[in-house]
Amino acid sequence: MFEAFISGLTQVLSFPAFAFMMLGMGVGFVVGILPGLGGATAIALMLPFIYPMSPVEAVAFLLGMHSVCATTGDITSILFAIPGEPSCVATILDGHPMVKKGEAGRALGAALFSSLLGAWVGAFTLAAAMPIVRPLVMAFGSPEFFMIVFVGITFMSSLGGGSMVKAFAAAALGLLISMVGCSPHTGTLRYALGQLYLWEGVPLIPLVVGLFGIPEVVEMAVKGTSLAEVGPMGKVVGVMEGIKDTIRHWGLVVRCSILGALIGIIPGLGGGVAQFVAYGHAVQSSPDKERFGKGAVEGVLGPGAANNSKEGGALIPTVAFGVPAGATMAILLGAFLIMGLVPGPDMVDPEKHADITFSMVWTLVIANFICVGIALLFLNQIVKITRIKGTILIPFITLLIFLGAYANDNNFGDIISVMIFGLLGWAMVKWDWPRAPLILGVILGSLAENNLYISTARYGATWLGRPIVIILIVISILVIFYPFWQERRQKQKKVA
Amino acid sequence: MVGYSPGGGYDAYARLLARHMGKYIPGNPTFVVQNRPGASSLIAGNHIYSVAKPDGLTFGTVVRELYTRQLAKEPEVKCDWAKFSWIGSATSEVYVVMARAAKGVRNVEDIKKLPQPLFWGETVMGVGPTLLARAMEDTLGLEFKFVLGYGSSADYAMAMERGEIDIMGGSWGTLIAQRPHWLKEPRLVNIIMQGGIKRSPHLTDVPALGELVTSEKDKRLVLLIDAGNQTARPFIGPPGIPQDQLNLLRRAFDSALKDPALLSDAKKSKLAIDDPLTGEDCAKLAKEIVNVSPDDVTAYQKLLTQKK
Amino acid sequence: MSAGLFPWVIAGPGLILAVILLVRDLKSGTKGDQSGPSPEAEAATMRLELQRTVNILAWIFCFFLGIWLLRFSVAIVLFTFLYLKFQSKDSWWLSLLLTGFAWAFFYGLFVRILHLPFSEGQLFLWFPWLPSLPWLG
Repeated sequence: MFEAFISGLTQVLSFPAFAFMMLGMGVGFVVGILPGLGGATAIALMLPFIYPMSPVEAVAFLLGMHSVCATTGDITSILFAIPGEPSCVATILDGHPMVKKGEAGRALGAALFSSLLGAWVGAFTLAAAMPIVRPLVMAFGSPEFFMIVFVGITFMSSLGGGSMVKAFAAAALGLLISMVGCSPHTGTLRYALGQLYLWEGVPLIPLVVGLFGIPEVVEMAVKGTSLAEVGPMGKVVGVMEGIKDTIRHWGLVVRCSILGALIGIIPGLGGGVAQFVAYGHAVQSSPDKERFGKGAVEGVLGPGAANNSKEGGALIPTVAFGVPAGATMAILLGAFLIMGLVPGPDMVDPEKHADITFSMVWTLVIANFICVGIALLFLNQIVKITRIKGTILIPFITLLIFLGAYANDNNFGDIISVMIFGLLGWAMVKWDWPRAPLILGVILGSLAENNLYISTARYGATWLGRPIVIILIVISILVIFYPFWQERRQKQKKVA
Repeated sequence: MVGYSPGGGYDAYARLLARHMGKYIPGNPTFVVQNRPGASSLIAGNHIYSVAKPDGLTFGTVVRELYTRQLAKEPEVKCDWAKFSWIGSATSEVYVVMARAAKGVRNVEDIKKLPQPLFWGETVMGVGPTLLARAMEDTLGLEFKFVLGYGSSADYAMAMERGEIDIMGGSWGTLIAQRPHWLKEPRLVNIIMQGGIKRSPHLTDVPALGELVTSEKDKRLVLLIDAGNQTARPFIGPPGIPQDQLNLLRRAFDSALKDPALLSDAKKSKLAIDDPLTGEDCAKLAKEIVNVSPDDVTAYQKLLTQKK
Repeated sequence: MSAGLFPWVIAGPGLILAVILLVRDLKSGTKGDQSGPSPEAEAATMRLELQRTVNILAWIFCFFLGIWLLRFSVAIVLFTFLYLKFQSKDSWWLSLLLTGFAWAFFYGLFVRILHLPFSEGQLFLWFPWLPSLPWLG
């Protein structure tokens, strides 16, 4: 196994593979920044180019591209409140307010550096998990998936910002939105309003881009300022500060990375869930929850780390079982097959292809290192965008919003969705309703329903008694009651 | 035009053809692949049928069982399977029914002997493998408990490995390409049966559903289900493409599928090119499907939902 | 579990809650800034806010209409230029330059590299005799 570990490294650093990795990184950088244009689509479009490559070269290229997307996706999330990737929504919650405070550099520095650390933790998880991967993943069935989603939903109590009641209501609306489409049980169409467009449900990207993007544009126009609303008086806090924050809060970063990697392992959950669980954890582990939603750097560190570490985790079931942990992994799987790499026991066997799997680990490590390094160098320039007069930026951001939504599925319906959810988002901001729980509800709703349905159809009621399920039930109870308990403790402290 | 997002099987075949078909058409045009996903390729299907111009410049690929919705008379179907300008089908496929070896089930008789129904895993009712499952129920007197809601075939394949489901249906090609370890000793699964009227030349020691059913009516039902597999990767254009244009496209399609460069790429990508069908044969088949008797349609429609 | 049951069990109570809260919010007015300016100044600010909100929403809606009626490429060029010149009050030179940049970005990436399918604008479908400028993309 150790030879495979080293061999993986030398293969990635060798000449053609390294060059391909840099090429992939370049593509991934751009794709990650553009909202709506997803890493999944990019990988699929690059597939024809990998035919002539050797397995390690192709891995370096594709993974170089993919691992960088999650890192740079946070950049548009923070600067424009438009997620560059669906896994970068949570970074908007505190990242963008930091930009408004004039702390764009700090936010970006924190996001990038925590992304780097997260990616490394994810890569390490992939490497360490290889011997135990199969039994580990086999232990998780549909009941356990449902419980993990349930825990994710309970974390929503920390996304409320102010009113927990509003958070629940927003989440309920999100759950309802996720129900649109074909029900797995009967195959009947629910709430589709007779539109073919809605058969597979309300698409997530236009929803998110509209819900978060349009209100931002409106606010910029109304306030008449640049992205950084602080006038010439405010100081622009720099990138170094962000990096220092990451190191200062290293415990949080490591914990969120581990969470991300673990969640990334579960097929189907991935990026949508990991970022919110990490954000929830960041909120709950802070003594002063009020700062969140207004520009608390921990709110950037948590999701920033998690949305990168999940990539390492996601490779585990993809490589060891051929079960893709998400849409991007599904396409990567196709690429592996093209290269003649059949996922399964062979990929973790040191006699066979473990070195290729290790080269994936190394690609994640090295590509992120280089990408973050380069980004940090240019960051101070990128931050200058936040000082440009708002009305110049508005047409471009609006353009990005509509194009990004359209690029999702090439369907005009997505443009309509952007308008509708844009209006909803604006209304929610106006009346101070939190939007994050709504997104959480949408992402988790159908996952929850499907897994619950499978669990009851297959196991009757006995699934509630499975050991991991019980552990997760306990965790969710703890998560729900933790904030109440913390408040009581603080009140007691004040009294004493 | 592909009715699915990039990365899936239909997209892969489309891009394969896009790369190699141009050289068989005078002027060596470049093919551009556009994705128009939605409603399990029905959006693309409708688009190709009514919006695309029949000038021979646009054609696409959709799910092989698109005719199911037409037979079920769903109102959203705005296209006619038989009226498309058929260019051809890149390959045919065989569906097999696999059961976990641990259940000790080797054939249909063994299934009948079990005290409890087997758990059959799938995404939703109405897709290819479930049609086969329901046909087995209706024609052979079996009973399954359907466990639905899995996100994709990869998800229920994993459930199979976990023992969460006992039996599933899927393409034979995909099984040997992506999950060969299922068949290596100790086997994970036994192949119970294959779909279709008769045994495929690739799989001669597994009984076909067509052999196991007796009545003519049942045999017609089996044919109707399997029709999709004969045109497993269909390529269609809008109705009304001028005949010489259509012939040009058809011949280019056929030649491309014999092109050594295409075949070598296909082999690398594990895309099978088995028994491709010419446009003419596809069109004939499509006509037969669409014109089945109302009784047969009723029997078919019963397969789309679980037994009451 | 029937298809319709699960959503209502989960979301029903949540929605009822949401409606109650919404009504309560509407009654108590929007969240306002509590600090200092005088009532007249505040009223003026609110009027300005309202004006600008309507303005930007109208622009966005017109962009949307443009995409539908004229298709993406034409809408992008028109919207960018008109907004920059007349709303943002930038110079002719800057507006044209930035519009060119916007179009180039759209055309280069989304048309040439990605080959995304863009349908014809509805207006040109209704009135085929109108010049639809196909070279714009």
